[in-house]
Amino acid sequence: MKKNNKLKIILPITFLIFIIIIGSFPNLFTNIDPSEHRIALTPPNNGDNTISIENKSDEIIKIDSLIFLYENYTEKINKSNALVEKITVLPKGKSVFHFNLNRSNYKIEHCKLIVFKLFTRGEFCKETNYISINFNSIKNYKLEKEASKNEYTKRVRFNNIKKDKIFKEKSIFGTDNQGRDIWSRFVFGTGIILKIILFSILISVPVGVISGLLRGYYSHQTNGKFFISILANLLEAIVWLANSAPIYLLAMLIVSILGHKLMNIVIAFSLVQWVEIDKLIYEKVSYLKKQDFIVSAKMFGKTDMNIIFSELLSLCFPQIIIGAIFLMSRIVLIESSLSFLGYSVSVPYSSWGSILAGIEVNNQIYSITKVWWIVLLPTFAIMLTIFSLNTIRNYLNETIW
Amino acid sequence: MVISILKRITRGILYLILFLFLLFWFLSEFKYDQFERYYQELTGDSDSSRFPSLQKKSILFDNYLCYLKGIKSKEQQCSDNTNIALNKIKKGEYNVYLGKIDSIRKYEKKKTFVDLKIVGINAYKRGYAFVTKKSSTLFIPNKNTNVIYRYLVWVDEILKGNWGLTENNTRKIKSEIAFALPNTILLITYSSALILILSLAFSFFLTSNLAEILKKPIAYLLELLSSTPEFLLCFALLYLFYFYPLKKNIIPIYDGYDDFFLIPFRFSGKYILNFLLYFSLPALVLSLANGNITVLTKYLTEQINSYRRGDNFRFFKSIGMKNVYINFVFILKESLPIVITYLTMKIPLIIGAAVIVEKIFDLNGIGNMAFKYFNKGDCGVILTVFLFIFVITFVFDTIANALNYIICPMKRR
Repeated sequence: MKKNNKLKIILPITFLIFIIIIGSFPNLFTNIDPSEHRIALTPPNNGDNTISIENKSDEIIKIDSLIFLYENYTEKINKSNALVEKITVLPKGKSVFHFNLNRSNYKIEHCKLIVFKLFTRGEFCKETNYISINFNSIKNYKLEKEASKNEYTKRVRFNNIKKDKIFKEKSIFGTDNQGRDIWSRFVFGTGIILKIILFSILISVPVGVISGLLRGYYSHQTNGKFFISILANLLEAIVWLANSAPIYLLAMLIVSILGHKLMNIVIAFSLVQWVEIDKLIYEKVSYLKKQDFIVSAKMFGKTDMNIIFSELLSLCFPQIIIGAIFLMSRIVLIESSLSFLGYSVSVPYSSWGSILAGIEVNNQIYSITKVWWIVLLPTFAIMLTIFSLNTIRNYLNETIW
Repeated sequence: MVISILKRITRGILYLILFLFLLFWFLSEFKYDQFERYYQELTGDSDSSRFPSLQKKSILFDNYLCYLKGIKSKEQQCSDNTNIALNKIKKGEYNVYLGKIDSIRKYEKKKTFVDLKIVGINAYKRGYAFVTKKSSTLFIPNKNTNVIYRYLVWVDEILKGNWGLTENNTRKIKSEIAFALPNTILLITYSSALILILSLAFSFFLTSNLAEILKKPIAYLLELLSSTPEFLLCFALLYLFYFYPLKKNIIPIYDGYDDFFLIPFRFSGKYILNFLLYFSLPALVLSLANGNITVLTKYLTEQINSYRRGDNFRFFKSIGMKNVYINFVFILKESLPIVITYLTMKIPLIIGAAVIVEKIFDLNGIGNMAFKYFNKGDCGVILTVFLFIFVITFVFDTIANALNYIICPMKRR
């Protein structure tokens, strides 16, 4: 029985350690930039070819770099294969880039793919639906929202290169509707989620602990002191408000007004989540303050603060640990939902939920079996992480409590 | 009991006023940034300078003054941009203020925030002017009217029944809420009922002698469901009941803007059945998500098991009572107070999850409303949405306390 119990806890812990390693050292697990858009087109003929890019928005679009690469089956990718120079600005209207495919060593049937990497940062990513790319005016690949269902599936599957061993940096799990590699987005997204969890816990836990200790100790016991009764009532009001506030709407509000930054998301979570710790500590302290050792400590002349922070705090550590683990699982759950809706970190950063947002195009949600390569990885990650945290919490509940 | 309810109500109102004041102050601080952008919207000018030049201003306001006096503006002076601006002012979407940005005149105190008009013919000669959208005037901070005064004006308007207009499409907030809120309430109630029914069913199954093999898988399944976010559950259920070709349309998907909120008043079997069918998938998702059923099932299973170890249970079995009767009459009655309290504590979380479910299933609820208006910082809508959510939470809390009072004799003593 004991071995089974230990197995139950070892597997979730190993999984969580694996997730932490992936999130902390993403560059070990992927070489592809998560904001890189890979769109593959086939050149129609040997010799002189053109790629025209049309900027349909009303503004000049600034981009990090737009590189056209040329690759075939036998050569590995490197920078010397770039056909055009780096461009950093796309003016309004059409821009045409010429390149020559006339190389005697390569036949046209070998030159199957030309992939251009569209490195994007900041605001530009939002405008990717305004760019259409035409290759010799034969194939027209539009990014993101204007694509129809057939074109979308064709484009994404086209990028899902598994059998063609062309690039060293191939997309193992495929790409999403914008040509971004899913594995690299997952790896970097893990880091983002770990940061959100860490900062939220660092803020929520101390606030919840202090509030729970004070509220639990001073409830129904103000000793006639006016200041303490005000403090107790104020804490009650704040806890009631934080308990009744809907976390999703509050987070949406804060992120939409203050911006899609990491600290704003952390603030949104921390504003409400500390109540969970507060409730646990409040229960424990309300029970403990009636015990003999607390009464005797008071009789010995110890101050209230001394009793709270030296006697009671040490006895509340199990509740703090279990509460913190519960908060972690809640944060992962809520953050994945918010990032799916677009109320978390914005591009170029990604999160597990924002990867899943790729199944929604033109306000249509496609069946999960048709876009299974986008759904698979983040779904398992989210579910297994929360399941592991819940298992650890239940185990600690049984042993420590 | 009446006195305790009254105490709760007064405390709840005070807390609500405090929270809404904090939210009002927060929104108005960040609203100020949008203030200066309205001039560009009005003229269609893409120039990002903070204050417009005197020349442009004089053309705009000169024409507007002519329009006010009933004189047609001279075509030579009118540019396209001023025509656009004039049309918008004519439609009543914007108000024009003459004066410095940090000092709005005192006569505004007499007007409501939907009726403010341009004042002073010579004031434009001072050199500054700005415009605001009608519905957002109260939320713009300025030196003459501080945040407490503006908040009290807003509360006064709310109590009078004037909830204002939305900023984007100048619709009445009252009608938007009246259309969206009942659907959300019905969804929450339906999902709460499903949580209760399903958790009872699971707990009775797990404590019975039926199908011992299935018990552990069901326990693990419940744990797994509590680990799944709402939107993934939506996709899984949509796939099972809608996309999977053989089982297409077993449960219909809501496909229109039908007025389901009138169902309780129609008392018609057909409408109630439609409501139960259309809302079944969303309510099922809400009940399965966030571990509601898992926690309640665990609690009820423990209650049943501990009751069965007691003497009462042996006595009832000895006189021939069946397990089902004992479960429903005695065990359920004892555990109902905690079940109801747990459900009411989870209401804010269920409302939040309802936001996601409404978005995916495209239901006309508060969640969908939040998506339309929160992004654009529509302060009036944000404040009224939060107001109603607190009111819903408080009402459910009061109902739960009343039910506990009725069910539990200890509380009555």
